[in-house]
Amino acid sequence: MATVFMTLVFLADSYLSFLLLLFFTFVVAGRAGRPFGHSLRGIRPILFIALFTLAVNSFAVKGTPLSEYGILCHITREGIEQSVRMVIRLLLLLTGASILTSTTTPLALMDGLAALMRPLRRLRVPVHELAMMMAIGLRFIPVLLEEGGRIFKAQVSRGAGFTSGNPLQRARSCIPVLVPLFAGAFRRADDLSTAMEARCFRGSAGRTRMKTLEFSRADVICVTAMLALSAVLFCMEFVKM
Amino acid sequence: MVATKKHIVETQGVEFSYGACGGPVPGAKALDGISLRIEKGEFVALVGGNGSGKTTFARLLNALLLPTSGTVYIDGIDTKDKERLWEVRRVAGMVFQNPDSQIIGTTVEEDVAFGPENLGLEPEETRRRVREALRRVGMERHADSPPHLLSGGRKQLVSIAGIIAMEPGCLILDEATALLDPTAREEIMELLRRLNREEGITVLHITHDMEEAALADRVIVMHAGRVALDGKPSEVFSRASLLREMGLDIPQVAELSERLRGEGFDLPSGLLDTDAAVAALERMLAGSRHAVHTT
Ligand SMILES: Nc1ncnc2c1ncn2[C@@H]1O[C@H](COP(=O)(O)OP(=O)(O)O)[C@@H](O)[C@H]1O
Ligand SMILES: [Mg+2]
Repeated sequence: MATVFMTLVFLADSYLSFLLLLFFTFVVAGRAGRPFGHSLRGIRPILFIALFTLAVNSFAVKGTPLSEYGILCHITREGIEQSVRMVIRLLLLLTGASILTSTTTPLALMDGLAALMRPLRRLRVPVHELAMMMAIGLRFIPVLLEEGGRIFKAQVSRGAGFTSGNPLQRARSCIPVLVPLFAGAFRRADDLSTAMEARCFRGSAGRTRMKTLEFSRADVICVTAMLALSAVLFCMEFVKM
Repeated sequence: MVATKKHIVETQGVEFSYGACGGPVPGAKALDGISLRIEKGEFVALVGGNGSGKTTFARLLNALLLPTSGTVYIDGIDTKDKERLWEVRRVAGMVFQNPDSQIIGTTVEEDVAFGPENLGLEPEETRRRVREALRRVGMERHADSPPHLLSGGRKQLVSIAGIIAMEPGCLILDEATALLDPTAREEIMELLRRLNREEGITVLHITHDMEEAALADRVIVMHAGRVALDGKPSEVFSRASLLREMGLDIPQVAELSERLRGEGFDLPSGLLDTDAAVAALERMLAGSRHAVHTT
């Protein structure tokens, strides 16, 4: 789903297609049972980047100048158009991602992926275990970030400099952070596997799920809408060319 | 001798060594002949210095390790019985020291469901148990929170809920309060007391905190892989000099009354509770007013 959406976002070029996509995003966000403002809040930090892109692109793209005079002669109509499209694309992508992450926990996402990869089990790929591994990896990103931050501060307070010297020296000064971070991660992985075993984990055999993934009516509608949207956009873009 | 069902934990002459390449002294016994029984419904504190073998003992009870010699029975099941391994692990639920390395789910609810899911329960039953376990530890409002945003104390409550959801007979906590602040510790202790009293769950609480140990029904002291003392808290903590020799503290109230007794004051031995100690001191002072100026 998400991937298809992303591809579409990049394919779309005309304003009409964008309008359609925006409409689609709105509807999905509404149906996902979350206020749209919530999804928007997630993208606020990115607005700055968006505006920056807008500014740079306006100058960088060659074409007909807006005007002959002053600073305006550097800004081209094509530049503005292209950058507006760029920004809309960026916002659409992020809203999509935000809807995905706020409606689906990483574990559920990985379950979904595992279900999609089920045919690979014929080739003896341990699909469920891989999914579990990825989900646990995601779960531990914040823990590792926090730990990294702590080690970093500890090294700085002992006088380590991370901001001075040439790139090589700076890279080298990261070693005292990375080594304990990795050592910690390995110890944690060891503890974690013990804890999982203690809680009767024995791989996917005999394991049930509290939340089984079901193909609900909403999913059917969503997939159909997605296919329709893809078809319409496809026609619009290629007929034009 | 056949283990009876009355004892949730029974060990007979258990020895364990980490093998030729493990530990500071390779081949040394981490556990050296441990025979003890814990009855259903007991609240036991296990104390002992660093390296005395507490963690090793806990892991033997959960079949994470198997004894080098001797036998461990959990609810009458030999932990060496491969076919009933999962039953042993369900009955003897383990909570570890660091919540960050035992919480697996990306939400609280998912994590609590991990154990029941491994047991192969129906989704309906899992959901019921998760709800119930979260209610019992008072975390139902946090069901959808990501665990890494919770405080250390709350993370540990989630860990406990994850074990309760498997309906264990015995809760084994390996220094589960060691990384927590005093308020969170108290909260966990209160929860353990409640689970023990109201639901009859046996608790084996490994701790460094002697004030916590004093709240148990029974205290086991380990030293160098053996059981050094085993009895009621008042009995165990009256052996102040022996405990100090093993590098252990004793609770403040016990320390004070032992010292006063050592100075020749007339106090009952085995005082642990602050209120009881105050009453005893008042009685003593009323009985011998002349002693006041010497203190
Ligand atoms: N994984 C291990 N490998 C080798 N030796 C170990 C290991 N864990 C503990 N030991 C040794 O076993 C003894 C008992 O340790 P442990 O059970 O962790 O004690 P405690 O939990 O009371 O601090 C110690 O001498 C320790 O060095
Ligand atoms: Mg230990």
